[in-house]
Amino acid sequence: MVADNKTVGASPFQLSMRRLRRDKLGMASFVIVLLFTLTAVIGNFNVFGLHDAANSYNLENRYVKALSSWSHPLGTDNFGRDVLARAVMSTRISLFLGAAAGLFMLPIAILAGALSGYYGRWADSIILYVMSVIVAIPGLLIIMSLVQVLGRTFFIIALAFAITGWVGLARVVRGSFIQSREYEYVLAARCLGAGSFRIIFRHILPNLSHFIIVRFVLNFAAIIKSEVLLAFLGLSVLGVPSWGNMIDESKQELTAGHWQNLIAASLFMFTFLAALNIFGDSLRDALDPKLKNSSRKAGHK
Amino acid sequence: MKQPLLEVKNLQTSFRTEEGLVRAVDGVSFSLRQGEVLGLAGESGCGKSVTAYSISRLLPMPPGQFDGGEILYKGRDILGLKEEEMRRIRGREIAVVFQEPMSALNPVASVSAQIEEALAIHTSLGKAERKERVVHLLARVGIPDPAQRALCYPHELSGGMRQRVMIAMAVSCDPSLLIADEPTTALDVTIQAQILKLIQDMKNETGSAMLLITHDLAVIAETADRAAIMYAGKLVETAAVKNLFAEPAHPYTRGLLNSIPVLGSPGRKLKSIPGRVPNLIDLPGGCAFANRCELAGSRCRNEMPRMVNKDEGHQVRCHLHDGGVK
Amino acid sequence: MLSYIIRRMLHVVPIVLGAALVFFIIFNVIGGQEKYIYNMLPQKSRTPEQFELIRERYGLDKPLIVQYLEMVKSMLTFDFGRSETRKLPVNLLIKRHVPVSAALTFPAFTLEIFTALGLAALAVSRRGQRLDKLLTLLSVVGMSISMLVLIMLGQQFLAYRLGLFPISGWERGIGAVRYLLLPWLLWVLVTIGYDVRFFRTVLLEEIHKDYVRTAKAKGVRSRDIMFRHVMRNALIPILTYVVIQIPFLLTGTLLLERFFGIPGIGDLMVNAISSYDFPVLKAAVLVFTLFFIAFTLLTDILYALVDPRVRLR
Repeated sequence: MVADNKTVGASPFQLSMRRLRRDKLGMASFVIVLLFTLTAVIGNFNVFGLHDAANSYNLENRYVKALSSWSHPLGTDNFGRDVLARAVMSTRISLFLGAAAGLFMLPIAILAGALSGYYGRWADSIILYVMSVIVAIPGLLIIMSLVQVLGRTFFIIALAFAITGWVGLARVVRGSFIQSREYEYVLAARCLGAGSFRIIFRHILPNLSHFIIVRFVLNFAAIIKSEVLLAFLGLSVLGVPSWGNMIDESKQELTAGHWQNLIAASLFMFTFLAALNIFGDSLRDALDPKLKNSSRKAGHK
Repeated sequence: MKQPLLEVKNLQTSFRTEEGLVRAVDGVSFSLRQGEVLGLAGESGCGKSVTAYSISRLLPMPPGQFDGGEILYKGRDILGLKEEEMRRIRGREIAVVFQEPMSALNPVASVSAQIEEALAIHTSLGKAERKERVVHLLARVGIPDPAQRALCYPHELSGGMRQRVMIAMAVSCDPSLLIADEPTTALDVTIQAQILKLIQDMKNETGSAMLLITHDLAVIAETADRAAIMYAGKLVETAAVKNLFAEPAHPYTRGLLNSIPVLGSPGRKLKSIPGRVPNLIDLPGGCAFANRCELAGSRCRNEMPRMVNKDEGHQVRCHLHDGGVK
Repeated sequence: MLSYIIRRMLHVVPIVLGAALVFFIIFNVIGGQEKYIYNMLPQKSRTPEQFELIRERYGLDKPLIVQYLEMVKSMLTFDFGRSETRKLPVNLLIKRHVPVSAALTFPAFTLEIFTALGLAALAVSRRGQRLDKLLTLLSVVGMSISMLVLIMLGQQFLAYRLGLFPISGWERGIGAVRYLLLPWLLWVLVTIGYDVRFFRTVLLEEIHKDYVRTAKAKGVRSRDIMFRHVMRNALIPILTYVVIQIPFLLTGTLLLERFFGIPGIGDLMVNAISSYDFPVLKAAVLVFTLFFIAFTLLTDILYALVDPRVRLR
């Protein structure tokens, strides 16, 4: 028998990873995302006096132009702080914020979606009601209010993003649970005496995992963009450099011709977001080729 | 001899996939005369549908591509036509009846709008005349209360009714060639015979030729004048239907025939063909059927058999009829 | 149909109750309104008496449940009182600011959706070709640029340096268009990346369906296949997507209004949140919720018009 030795005996996940490795642009983007992650982790520590360069005022050295000196490759800002150091430090806040918000969001979304989709009845009614309320209010309004009341801390902001962001994913989870409740493999598991808990976590969720991963990646991008908006409204994390804070600071500097902050922060941000978006696409195509042309990749703004 | 309506010569169609080039149709040749019904049969994946969609040029390209051969329709090579020229032929000259009447009809357009569209494109009828003709067509395909049904949407009709609509749409412009791709496969057994009968009637009424694609030899026995059996992208046997059923020459054809139950011979055992259809990406060098064939010899595994004339109008691609298998 | 609409309108009440609860919890339960207002007072009037006065005036000394019911009552009767910071009746403020935001949002949104649909249709009809790839690339670029950066660059170059548009400002009446042109343009640029990509995906999925092949087999022109068959079938996911975007309209409005000094509801709302102007906030929440619900209702009716399989129940 002529067997295709490449596809026989490989798990769906292995097949996905094989597809992903073949996607050159996707892999390049992945490397960029990894580099940024590394930067974020390193930026968390004061290596090479990074935090000092980013935070110490030096008013004699204001607005050094970019590419004009070795000690300040991307120039300095209004207070003589090194712009490159600030952009690197910002990576930390933006990435950690995206990750933390995503991690807060996942359990809420999965639990809510699974409960309402699998059990239905009153659980479904309550959760649907909560979702329809949250959807009806613009998310930014809730985030602004929460941050205003509870303070501009990292934790509060991440939490605010999670509280407003879980509905989209929960809906999808709910939909797949309603569908898969009727699927043969779930019925089979039930006939074998598997309990609800086991069916949810062993049989249904793994089949959703690819969608959750992709959603997480794309959500990441959305949060990083929202952080900039919060910064503009004066509501981003207080007292630390973030891409949003840098861009917001550059607002007044542009007319005077000082572009350092804006260029550094938006370049960092653009590179990361572009890599993340492309990687997200590749990941989705690799994990679920059927989804490649599907409308399930709903937009994030 | 009169020029055939359709002549397919050494057609080669393939698909680019992640795993490699799939040679779905590999050197298929046949011809179809005016008014004739040719049944093209084989297991799923043998390339019979790709052959049909190559003729109507409905394959998505890419990933599909033509690697060679000619398709002469009324003497013109269809493969060389521009898309716009081909568009004028589709529906007017060559019409298709699809397998899945649910998904093949536009769910958000009414039955009448969908049939009318073909008329609007290919005829000079006015709006009122078109509406009238739609009702007339629906009546002809046996839809009761046609004026009322014309306003229905596909989801409001049963499977059999949808297929009747599909057929009405196909014959609306009196095509010369009707391609029916598994027209009864998606239907209930009780309805299959009715639809088959209807297709035959419509064919006779319009005098068109028909290429009938099916995996069901019984359908061919019922409907076709001639039959062509396809395996792994190649034709393995063509013959008049009578001859094919009386003396099947290719071991694969015999296998297919043995796997259909015959009414009135209860003692006969059904036999299945062992093994499965080979992968079309890297086919073995010899006969593609060799490793499922009970009669295969060493020559079968190494040398591709030629298509040879067994009798008048009966061709077969097997070493058994061309010098032996050893 | 009418009874459907009336029944749907009744659904508004629980949603408004829920929205009210969300903000009530944020501001009255976890946030301390009175403390904040107290701190905004001039130094010399920060006395314990003044603090009590504030509590009383805002009804913050009553039990929480009473406070909540009063909030709900004011929202359901459109009785919001006066804005603390602007010293004007809230209803007047809303009446003044909502049309401004509408003038900013709707033309931009409509223009952008139709442009995006057109571009997506173009990309799909040339799928796999250079134009399609270019459009895909551009949408990824559009998705990866921060809205704020784009707005800043637009204002800096197009308005400030080249003088093509006024830098910022507003006037009543038709003259407002002058101030709206650049915000409209920026709006389109900011959102079109996402939408082209999404519409392209939807149309691409649709174009591989069997009925498209049937239409092709009938001899329908590709353009007609796209507009008469594919688009009509794709309208359901497209409408759904458009509704999901509605709350995001606020984000855009808010940013553009703040940036270009346009006195719309987004601007009003940011100020209301930062100054704890609770009467205005309540009214704004109500406006947004009603707007969103009205829009979903409209789409549901549109669904039924587009797709014969949908029945309004």
